[in-house]
Amino acid sequence: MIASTRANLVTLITAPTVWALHFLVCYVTASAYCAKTMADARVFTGTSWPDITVARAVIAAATVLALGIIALCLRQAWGHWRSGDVDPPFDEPSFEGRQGFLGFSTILLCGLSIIGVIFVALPAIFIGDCR
Amino acid sequence: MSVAVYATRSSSGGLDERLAKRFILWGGVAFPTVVLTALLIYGLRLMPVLRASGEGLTIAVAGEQFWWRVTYQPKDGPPVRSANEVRVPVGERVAFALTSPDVIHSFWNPSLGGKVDMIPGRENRLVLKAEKAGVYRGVCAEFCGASHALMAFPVIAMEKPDFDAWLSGQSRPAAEAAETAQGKTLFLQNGCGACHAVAGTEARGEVGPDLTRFGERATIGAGTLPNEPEQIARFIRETDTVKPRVKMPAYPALPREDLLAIAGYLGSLK
Ligand code: HEC
Ligand SMILES: [Cu+2]
Repeated sequence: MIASTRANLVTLITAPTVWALHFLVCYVTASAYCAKTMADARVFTGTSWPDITVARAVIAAATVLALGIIALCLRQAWGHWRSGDVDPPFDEPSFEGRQGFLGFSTILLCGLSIIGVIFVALPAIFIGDCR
Repeated sequence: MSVAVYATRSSSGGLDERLAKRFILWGGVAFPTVVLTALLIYGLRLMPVLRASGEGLTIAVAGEQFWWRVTYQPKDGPPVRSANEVRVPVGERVAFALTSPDVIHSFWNPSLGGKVDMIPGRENRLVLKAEKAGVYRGVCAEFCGASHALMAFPVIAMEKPDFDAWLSGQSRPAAEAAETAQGKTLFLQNGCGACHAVAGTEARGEVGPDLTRFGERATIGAGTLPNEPEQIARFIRETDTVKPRVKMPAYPALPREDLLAIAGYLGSLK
């Protein structure tokens, strides 16, 4: 996939897959961590709450990693899109047409995935404990 | 819609391609992203406030077919038992511990907060804060049987000093007057004390609502009838007609004077 000169369906779905995996990692981390640390905290009556720095750090690391991979995808897709000298609508049954179409679609999916990953990670910034 | 009309009407020469691209980029990508991000951040910032802890007072409320068992658990001081009415101090976050011994009920006071189910075998938590003194009507929001619709509870928000005075006064039994002594005797003789508790008397039943301060409540039977002597008598005489399927027997055989004497006694418990 990396350094591939040909766009294909795998390069197309890499970014959304990373987004999905990032969601999974964040969700599982937060729920497992909170289930463990909150086991004997009295919800809503307590005044101090278990520290969640570890969970936040894991989510931050996963986010940086995910954004990094998507950025690589984006760069590669940009190359595919620009490689042929063709304009939309990319409906020629040619190599350039395919590169252009897949490259451009991948760029759009990368953009969407970047926003998705950021939205998934935002709660960890604003919600500072397990409630 | 007007944009759509404009677009279909003025198809004179098609749009400039660069303009169209820019329109899609800003209107279709940048604008929604910015708006959604702003809304998300706004919403996320509110969430911790919604889930803040109580400030000391916890009120345990159990939904039972078809009434509310209420126990105040102040931070310091003994628990106070009551029923069918909840009092809270204004401006303080009060934690509610919600349970049910029988079927699923739902604790819902729309002016103060969202509804939370009361599920057998679980304790659900809710924190409410009343901003203004007053009476906020709440209901059971989960169908729980024949008298589900007759299962309401007012939340009475009182200024903090009034509330504190009220709560500490609750640990004393209600004052008794000589003219209600007959009613009290009848209440005890008829076995009402097997199910109802009145602090300071032999009545210690736990099945039905605590009647220690029954006279303070505005209604009978969780919002079913107004709290007036005639209506109390009616509730005792034809319980099942007034409120179908309640777990209290009707007393059709009690003479009217006895019913009114009991009603007078219960109404005086303040
Ligand atoms: C078998 C138990 C039982 C007995 C005996 C019983 N009650 Fe009740 N009573 C209940 C239950 C349960 C309720 C709650 C009914 C409801 O609203 O769902 C209730 C409710 C009431 C209420 C309304 C309380 C409120 O907070 O609105 C009054 C008043 C009352 N009973 C009076 C009496 C009197 C007087 C007697 C004796 C003549 C009596 N009860 C005997 C179980 C009992
Ligand atoms: Cu109900």
